[in-house]
Amino acid sequence: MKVRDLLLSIFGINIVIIAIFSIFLSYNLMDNRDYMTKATSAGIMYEQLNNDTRQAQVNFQRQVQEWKNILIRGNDKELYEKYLKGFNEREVMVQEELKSVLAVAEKNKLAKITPKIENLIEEHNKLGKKYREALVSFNSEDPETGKQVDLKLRGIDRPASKAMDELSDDISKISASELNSISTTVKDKNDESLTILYIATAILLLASSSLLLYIRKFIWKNLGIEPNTLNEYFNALAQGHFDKTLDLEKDDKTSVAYHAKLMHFKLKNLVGSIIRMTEDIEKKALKINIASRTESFMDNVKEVRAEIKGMAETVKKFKI
Amino acid sequence: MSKESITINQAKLSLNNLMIDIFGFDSEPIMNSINNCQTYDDLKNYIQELIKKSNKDESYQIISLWSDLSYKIIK
Repeated sequence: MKVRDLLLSIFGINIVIIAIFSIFLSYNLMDNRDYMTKATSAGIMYEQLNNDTRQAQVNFQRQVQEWKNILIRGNDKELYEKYLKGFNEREVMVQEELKSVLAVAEKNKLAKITPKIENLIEEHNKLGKKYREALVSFNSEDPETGKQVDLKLRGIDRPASKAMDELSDDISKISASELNSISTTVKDKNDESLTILYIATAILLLASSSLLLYIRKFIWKNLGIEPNTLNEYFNALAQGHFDKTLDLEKDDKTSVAYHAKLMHFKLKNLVGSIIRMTEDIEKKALKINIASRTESFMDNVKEVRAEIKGMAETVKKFKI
Repeated sequence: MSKESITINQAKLSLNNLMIDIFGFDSEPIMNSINNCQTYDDLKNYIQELIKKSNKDESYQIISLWSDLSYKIIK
């Protein structure tokens, strides 16, 4: 495999792994964000419901208080009108607040408490009517009628007040249950995200380490020695320093360094051969006595010619 | 190889190349010994000695080359 292709493959594999896990993590994080938003909205909504219910209850108690004020202090015409007005206003407020609670419950499909709120609105409405009916027999000039009316309706407000308490408790329970459920889901999703993150990190680390080790092995196997050493070796050969040595791994028969050393050996042999031939020609040329034309002269000339021919053939091994 | 005659130096070059092929980077002492041979007889004696020391496959390769070279060398 080519180094370029290998590096490209490694880059590609890493990108794919990172992309896959990024998508998973992004999906989970977005999911978590949605759950958190949902939890916050639900929390606000339940708090609002509870506040409205409690406010309705407070206003209901104030309404009952106004009723008692009518019976106790209604002998005074002016006070009678004032407390009756207060009674009517509180009644309207309770109705409005309960209807607001009902609207929120219906909007959020809180089937468990919706019928209870409807009943409570109806009961409270009926209660108002009963109070007004009883008020017909109240005579502001006779203090005894107040006591009689009070006896007649004593305790009539308790079921409504109890129902409001129960409604508030129900809302708190549903709120706690739902928030607990959302919290558990968010926790599970977070755990899932963390698990994915751990797995992704582990896989990436493992893949990167394996790939790095593979690259190291691949490059080492191909180069055979440190690039700097190889560079220095080539430089020395280029300068004609054939006495330079290079230590290789024992079983190395394929690396660049191995082939460089083999080239070095063969070049050394070739150059050494040319040097020896030149030396021999020099020695034999010195033996030639140009003045003589003897048999030994001719032998010397033949030897020199043979050496020159041999050298020429040797030099021809270089392909330039 | 052609049937033309060769010098002893040419023979040494071919023999050394074969030594590199056979013995790899351990061939340096053998190459030095070959290069130190001054005459055909010196070279012949050393090659015979080397053939004795070598294994079957190595000696076969050396004999093949030497039989080709020996009759071409100018004695």
